[in-house]
Amino acid sequence: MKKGFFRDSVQMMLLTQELKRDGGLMDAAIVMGTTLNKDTLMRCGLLTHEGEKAGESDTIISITCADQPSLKTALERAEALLSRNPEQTKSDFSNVESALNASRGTTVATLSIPGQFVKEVASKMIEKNLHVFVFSDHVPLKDEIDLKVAAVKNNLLFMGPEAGTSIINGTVLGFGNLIRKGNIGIIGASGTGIQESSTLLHLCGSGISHAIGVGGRDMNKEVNGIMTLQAITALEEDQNTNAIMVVSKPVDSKMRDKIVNVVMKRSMKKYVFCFIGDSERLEDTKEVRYARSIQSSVLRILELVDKPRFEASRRRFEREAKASIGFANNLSETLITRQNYVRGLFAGGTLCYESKAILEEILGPVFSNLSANSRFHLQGRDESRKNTLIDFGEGEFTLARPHPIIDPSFRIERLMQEARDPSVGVIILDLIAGYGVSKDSIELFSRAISEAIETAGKANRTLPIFLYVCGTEGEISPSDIDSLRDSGAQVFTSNALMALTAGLVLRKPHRHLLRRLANDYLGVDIK
Amino acid sequence: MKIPDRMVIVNVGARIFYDTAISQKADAVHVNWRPTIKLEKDLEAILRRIGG
Repeated sequence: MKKGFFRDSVQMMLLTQELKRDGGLMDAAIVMGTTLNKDTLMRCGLLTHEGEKAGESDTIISITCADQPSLKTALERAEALLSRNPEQTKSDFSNVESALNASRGTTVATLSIPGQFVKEVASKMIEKNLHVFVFSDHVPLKDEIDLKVAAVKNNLLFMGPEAGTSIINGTVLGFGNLIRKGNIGIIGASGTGIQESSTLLHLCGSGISHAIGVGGRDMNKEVNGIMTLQAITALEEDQNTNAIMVVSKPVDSKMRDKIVNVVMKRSMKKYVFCFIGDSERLEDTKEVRYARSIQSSVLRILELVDKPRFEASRRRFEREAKASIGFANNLSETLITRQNYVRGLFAGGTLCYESKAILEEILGPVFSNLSANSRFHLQGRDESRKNTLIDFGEGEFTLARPHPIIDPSFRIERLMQEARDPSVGVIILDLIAGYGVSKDSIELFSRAISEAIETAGKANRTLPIFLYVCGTEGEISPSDIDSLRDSGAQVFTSNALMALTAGLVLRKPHRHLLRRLANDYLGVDIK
Repeated sequence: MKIPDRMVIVNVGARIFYDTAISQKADAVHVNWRPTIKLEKDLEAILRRIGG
């Protein structure tokens, strides 16, 4: 334990990775001694008596090795890594007050500090009339509510906590993509939901005014949609926004109705709501339309604001849908009898939820660490059962390591494991590109996919691996896509198309059901 | 409620997000944030007694 030693959580994660890369150890974690970190260390068998005594301002170095000499070497290496001074620039400050004094006209604060400290720091920002973007997780629910109430009182946005991305006037906060400017606003209780919506709009030749991430819990009944409603007010008053898309993971129906009613009563603009996984079929009105997937939301909002682009995009998506259905039919014939199941390994929680909703319509219940049904709930590290989808962005995977959008190593490990399972018929993955993401991901995935297919091939199995790549042309080049295709991956332009195609490889639904699914999730009529 | 026209960012915590802001040519400063060190309970009591 290092008393009173602090590095930010991303630095700690990167140091842990570097330590593990050096080899000679079985497991390791370098973390601050918060209660939450200590609980997780205990679950991973990495908490010692000394670690238990660490306080919130102390750093714990926890290492498991096969023998004492390896442990000694690993500890020395960890000490050396921690003693390296982080890079500093002339824009660095040691405290918030001096940064604010030195920087005139600050409008936004971005916070990525341990959750229990967010209230203390964010309150100061709100007092100074700054909009706040909070990437941190584990912010106590009461703190989130108090901060959002204070932000609304001061006419501010409080984006988060656990906000993956926001794009304000073309500037990306957190993760996010280079998106053309346009007249569509996005509100998302979901980081990757915003990323897929904005990149698909860009792909269709459209663009966005702003994308406001409100944090994954905003539409819970406790938080009561405070920031979703504030973001609606902001975009209603924004002259550059003509239509608004609201994207969320599954929400309580009362909360959904509350937000929709507010829009119906006071909106001057057009809306598309996409509550992923909502099984209720809602009737469109003049002001409000509903969509069941991100791809169909994008088409529906284009239909409202840009008819020519809508028509061109619909034709494109229709062609892609028909080609994928044909492709799935052909592919299913190459599988052997035992290859019955789909496995999904996701970095994006919303993309995992969306795939789950689609696949359950075709294949029946799916096991997942996101499942609310205890019969089908798996811990992420449990072995897969039948059809299984795992969200690697869940807390159990993110202790002392970067989010899977930054670090794909856990998913790649699991990909190899699934490739060895003879009951697997198809594997689906997402690859998120953009700010904050290393270019290495393309190479790492290409290599891993090729190895996974080779492993299955040695056991005389064909192994289809599908990949949804979320990014724009500035982030993913044609040669990147070629490299992924050369590895054997089938690359899709939307997550919904990938999931639907995977389902069709394993089961051929009745023509009527297939037509309904294409309409609901892809926004196209395949007749 | 007005969405800011100009982005001037103060980044507190992970440097990766400061780098993202700078790479987009946004005005930004970075705070090398650390938690406030909490005094041990007995030391706090001593300081209280001596009026610290």
